Amino acid sequence: MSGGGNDVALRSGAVARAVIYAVLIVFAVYYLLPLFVMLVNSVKPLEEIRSGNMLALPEVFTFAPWVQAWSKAQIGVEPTGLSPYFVNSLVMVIPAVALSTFLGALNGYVLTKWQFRGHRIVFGLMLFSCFIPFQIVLIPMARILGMLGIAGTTWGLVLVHVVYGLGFTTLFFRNYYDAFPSELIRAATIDGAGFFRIFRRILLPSSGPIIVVTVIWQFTNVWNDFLFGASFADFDSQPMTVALNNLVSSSTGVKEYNVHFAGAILAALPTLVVYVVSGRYFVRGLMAGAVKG
Amino acid sequence: MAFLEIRDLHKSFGEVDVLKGIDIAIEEGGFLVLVGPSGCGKSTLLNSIAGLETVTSGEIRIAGRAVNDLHPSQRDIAMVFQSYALYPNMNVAENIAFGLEMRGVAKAEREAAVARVAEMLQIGPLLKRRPGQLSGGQRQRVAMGRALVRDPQVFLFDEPLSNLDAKLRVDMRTEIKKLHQTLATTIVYVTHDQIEAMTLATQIAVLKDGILQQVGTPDQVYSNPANIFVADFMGSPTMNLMPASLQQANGTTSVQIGAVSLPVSEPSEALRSHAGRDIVFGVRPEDVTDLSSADRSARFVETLECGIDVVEPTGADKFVVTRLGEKEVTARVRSSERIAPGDRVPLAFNMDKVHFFDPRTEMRIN
Repeated sequence: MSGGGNDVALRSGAVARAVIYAVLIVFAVYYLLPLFVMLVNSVKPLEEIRSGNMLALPEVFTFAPWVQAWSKAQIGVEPTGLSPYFVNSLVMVIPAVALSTFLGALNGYVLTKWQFRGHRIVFGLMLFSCFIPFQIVLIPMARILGMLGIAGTTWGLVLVHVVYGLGFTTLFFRNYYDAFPSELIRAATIDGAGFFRIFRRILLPSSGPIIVVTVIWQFTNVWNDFLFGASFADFDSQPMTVALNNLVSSSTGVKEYNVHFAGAILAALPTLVVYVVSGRYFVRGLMAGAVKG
Repeated sequence: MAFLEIRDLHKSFGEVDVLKGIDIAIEEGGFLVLVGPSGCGKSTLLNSIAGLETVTSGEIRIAGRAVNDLHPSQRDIAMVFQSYALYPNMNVAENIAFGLEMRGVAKAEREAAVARVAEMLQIGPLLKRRPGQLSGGQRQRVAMGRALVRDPQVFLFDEPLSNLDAKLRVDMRTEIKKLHQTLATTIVYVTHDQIEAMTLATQIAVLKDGILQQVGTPDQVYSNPANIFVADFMGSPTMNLMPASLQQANGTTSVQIGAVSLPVSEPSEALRSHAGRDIVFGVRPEDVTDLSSADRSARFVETLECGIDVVEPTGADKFVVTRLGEKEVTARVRSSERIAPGDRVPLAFNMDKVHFFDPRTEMRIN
């Protein structure tokens, strides 16, 4: 009797499992479909897209759309392709992410381990900045960039993104360091380490997971930003997102969908790479054994 | 002159007074244990000595030098934390050497110092491991190593054994005692465990609610507790304390506990002045025994026939609970005594070692 009961339990377990897998596969396909469409159409000649099925694999395989998108397509006035804008984005994103992450870490360190009168209010205000919509910042930011004389430059964009990102990065690090044992700070203080040495030698080496989270978050946001890029950049500092828009929405000539697909993938590539590469360093348990176990 | 001197120390967190005028002094090489229940201010006092807390008023002197305004790293102290506070990103050797590195000690010298300490604490094989790979007892040793390597003037221990299991705790306690005997460095040690206090200290300071209740050698604190709190806090099982009254008739003084009367031998002047008044009578379990275990050197032993309510064998001894007046009284008898609940047996009260307290002030009556 009990054996039969087990069989039923096993069978119903298997059924449930099959259902779960089926649902998961459906959703995976659903989410992968756009990427698939972009990939297959970016390696087809234009005629094949016009005449055929969007989901079909290419009959004639060609990298020409990629080359076109990267280095030949007409964007703005010059036929430069997306490559200079890709570089613009990189030159802007890397310092913006590095600075906002570093400053966020420093803020989190001060707000948890060197608390001062009113630290809660300061943190509350920084948190509040996370909820301010982009649009509200535009005009004051334009004034400030103008006053600083960095309007339309890459460094102007870096400043915008650092200021805007600081609320988030501070929030991430504050919450992470809040759980960091304060006795370690006390021990290091007695050992003779000062403010920055404790930060560099004790806190930062244990911050791997939160640094990765912050970098992924900031990189994705700054790289994908369109509004600030469109508002504050000149032709020579325009980021990838703005250039992609210019490529896709150019009003002259035929719509080269295959080139657009290739350009869109190029624009999305760096965030993908960041996810894949940093995700591997997302090691947990760095803190294990710091305090009582 | 005292090596570590704390004078009229006050500490407040906002409205709350945590330390209310602490005065303690300890000689060089002494082992001062700060003991008291949770929230008594003992850890705050230790942190004040370390410089991790600022004091509201008062003075702390180490080796004749006022350290109030010195940074923790300049006070020439080293501290072992309750959580061990090992740096998780460094291996054991780096953990131990960190303080030396911060002080600019050359690499070769640091390595020699680490090797010396590792040898002393027998943690040589662990030097390349991370704290996460160590057991509780090993972490404890590393934490001590980090303090030892600095060779400071004062060691501060903040409940270092409270995270260890019972057996390891006893071993480490012995080890700390050995270490102190070898190094003869001054130690201030915080614990809430009165047995740790008794076994380790050369001086015990009992705190309660930020007020120093008593400072003295373990024997002084145990045998002559200054007030009811100290009497109750030190010793396990705790001292039997019961309300009583002091009677004087025909030149003899006796203590009346419910219906029972025990004569008091050689009452002091102070005690006699309480005649006719209520007092609190105290006697430790080991001073209430079966007749054959009674202290032979005691000059005055009183025997009372007592009904036994509970018998608790511990292996080495049996604790039996009886009643005097309204209060339960624990007595210690030999484990070979055949006593069962409900029996009536004679118990010997060692009247040399009884304590009297004033119920109003809670202070000892000498």
